[in-house]
Amino acid sequence: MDEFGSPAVRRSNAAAFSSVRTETIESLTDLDDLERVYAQLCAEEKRLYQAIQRADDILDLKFCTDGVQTALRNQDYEQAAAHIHRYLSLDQSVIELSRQGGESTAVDASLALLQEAELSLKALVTKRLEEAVVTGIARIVETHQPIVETYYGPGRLYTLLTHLQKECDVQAQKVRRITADFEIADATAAESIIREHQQCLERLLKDCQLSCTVQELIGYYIPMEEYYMRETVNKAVAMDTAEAGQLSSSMVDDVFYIVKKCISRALTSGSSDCVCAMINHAISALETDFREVLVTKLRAGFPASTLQDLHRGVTSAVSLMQSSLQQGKIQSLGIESQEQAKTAYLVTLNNVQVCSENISTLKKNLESDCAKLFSQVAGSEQAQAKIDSCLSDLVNTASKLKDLLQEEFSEYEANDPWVQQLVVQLEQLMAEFKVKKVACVFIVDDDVRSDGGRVCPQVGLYPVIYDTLTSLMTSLIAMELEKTIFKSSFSRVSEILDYWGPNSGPLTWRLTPAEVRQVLALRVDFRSEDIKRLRL
Amino acid sequence: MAMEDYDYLFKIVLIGNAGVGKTCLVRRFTQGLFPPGQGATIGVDFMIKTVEIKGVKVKLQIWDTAGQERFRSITQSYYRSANALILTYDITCEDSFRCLPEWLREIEQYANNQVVTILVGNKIDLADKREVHRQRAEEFAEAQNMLYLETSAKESDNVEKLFLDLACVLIREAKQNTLDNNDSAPMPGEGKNISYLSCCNVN
Repeated sequence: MDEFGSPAVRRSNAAAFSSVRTETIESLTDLDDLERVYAQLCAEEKRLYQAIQRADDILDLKFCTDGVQTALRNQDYEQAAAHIHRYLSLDQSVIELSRQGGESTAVDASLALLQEAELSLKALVTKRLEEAVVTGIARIVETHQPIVETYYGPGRLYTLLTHLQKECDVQAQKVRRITADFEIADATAAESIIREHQQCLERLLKDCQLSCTVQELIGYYIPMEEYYMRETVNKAVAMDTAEAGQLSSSMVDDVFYIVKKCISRALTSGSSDCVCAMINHAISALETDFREVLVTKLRAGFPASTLQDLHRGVTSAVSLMQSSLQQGKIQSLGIESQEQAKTAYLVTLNNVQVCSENISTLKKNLESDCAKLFSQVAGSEQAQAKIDSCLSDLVNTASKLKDLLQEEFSEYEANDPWVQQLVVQLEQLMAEFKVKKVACVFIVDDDVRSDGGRVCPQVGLYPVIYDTLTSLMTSLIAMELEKTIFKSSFSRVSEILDYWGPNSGPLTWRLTPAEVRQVLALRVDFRSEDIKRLRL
Repeated sequence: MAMEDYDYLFKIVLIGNAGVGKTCLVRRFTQGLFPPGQGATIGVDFMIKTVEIKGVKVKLQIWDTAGQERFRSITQSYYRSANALILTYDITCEDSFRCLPEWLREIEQYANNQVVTILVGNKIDLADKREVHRQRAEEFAEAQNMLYLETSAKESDNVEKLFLDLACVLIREAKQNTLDNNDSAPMPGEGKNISYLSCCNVN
């Protein structure tokens, strides 16, 4: 049967529907109320949680206060620190609120106790830490000094200290944990705070008694190292030998080995001040003492041995002229000692060059060593800047040595000792020749006179003889000079053409092409084909 | 290294007894601050400041040394390469003034002979505690062929002047040296008027 079949049923149903609708609307109004009640309940719940949290916090506070006191009494500092950490992480507003409550005096007392405990713990830890690191080392030195001195004699404390230093360094490694800690704490912090933290840490480490003592120890070490370096450098100079065939002598490499060793040793101290001081001292040693040695050797100069060729040529010409007369002598060094002086000078020039190269190598090596050593240490920027500055001074030393070389070369260019000596010796020779020419005339004269004491009609020929002699002499000297020029002026065979034939300008060469080829053949660095091929 | 952005580079080393205010002078000049309760310097501190004097860029490398005797062997190594030395004493401490001859002996022994030395009497802000009269210090400086200046790192009196004056003197000396050594190649802008360098209160 259909429930909603008859119209009567339908009607009653309609009435029921309308009543449901009214109820629904009414209940909707109730829903609003309900929502309000729910919100209220939520708020209540939140407050309840807060109340519980506060109660917890207060309980914690109380727990911390008691805990800290117990921990401090038992010297359990880690536990005490944990309690204080918990107290510091409590919501400050909660603590404030707690003070307003009924138990304000009790809470206040707890807080006071906790703050006091915090301060005393901080002081205690700092003190203990200092004692542990510094006093520990100091005590070891104090107790061991008499033993070391008794059994090993005075002056051995240094060895003990070097060993202790190692331990010290191990301890100091632990301090580095602070850096790691700061790194975590600063992960989200502003740049300025990070920098401030770093500066604080640097200052803490730099100003601590330990670093002061280390610095003092370095202060004792440096004069020793410097003295050692200076003396050994002097020794290397004194022992200097030049092997045949070597371009430079032993002292250059020896000196740089010494300097490198000394600075490397200073580097192992791990102190930038120590390294810088040793670099400075090394610069001093190189720029003053060692440079002086090089300069003195260069001052000895290069013996003008090429002059000998000319000398031989001219003297043979003169001897041709006046075979019956005594040959003129030009003072010169013995060939052997002259060769020695020549080699010594060239070796010194090479030494200067090698030194300046060595300095650059040393600088590069030190730079990378220092970068490796100081890159991880706190305050490394400052250390690096200091070292960079000292190293750039070292490079200046290299360029100062190069200047020395340049000076020497320009000096030779401006005042070529060869030319100077040539001029002096030619003058000497000519003066001698003048005397001999007069003597020669007297001989002729005497011959004429012996002829019955009559005045010879040939007397009018004397000036002609002088002129012939003089021009012959000049021509011989000029030819010898030309030979010297062709032998030593050109670096390539073809360059000769710039001064030959149509290119010779106002010059007229006395040498024949064959003679030029002959002279050029004396050069070991010129190929004979090139000389033959030369179109003269 | 890249092309450096300066015309001159000078090394200045501060020396003098411990506690006369060397570090404070350097801090005041380089960072513009006066660190109160500054501890003793250990070893050597290093600061750089570039100043401009009449268009000439001068990089000043300032080495602040420890005054204490025990660090002397480290600090002495810096004398030789210094272009200028600032010998500092404390006007309120007679002792620091009386040690000056000893410092001069150090300079004589370790510094190069072209070094410019300036004597500085620091802490003039503590005028009521003055123990060394200005005239006495001036006479001493003159006798030793040194420049003299009184400063206060705390009040920033004469600190800038100290370093800038020194830079001027050093530029002048450097120019003279270049002229002496190599008169064929004068520096750009040289030969006009060197005396303009004598006034340098403009930064």
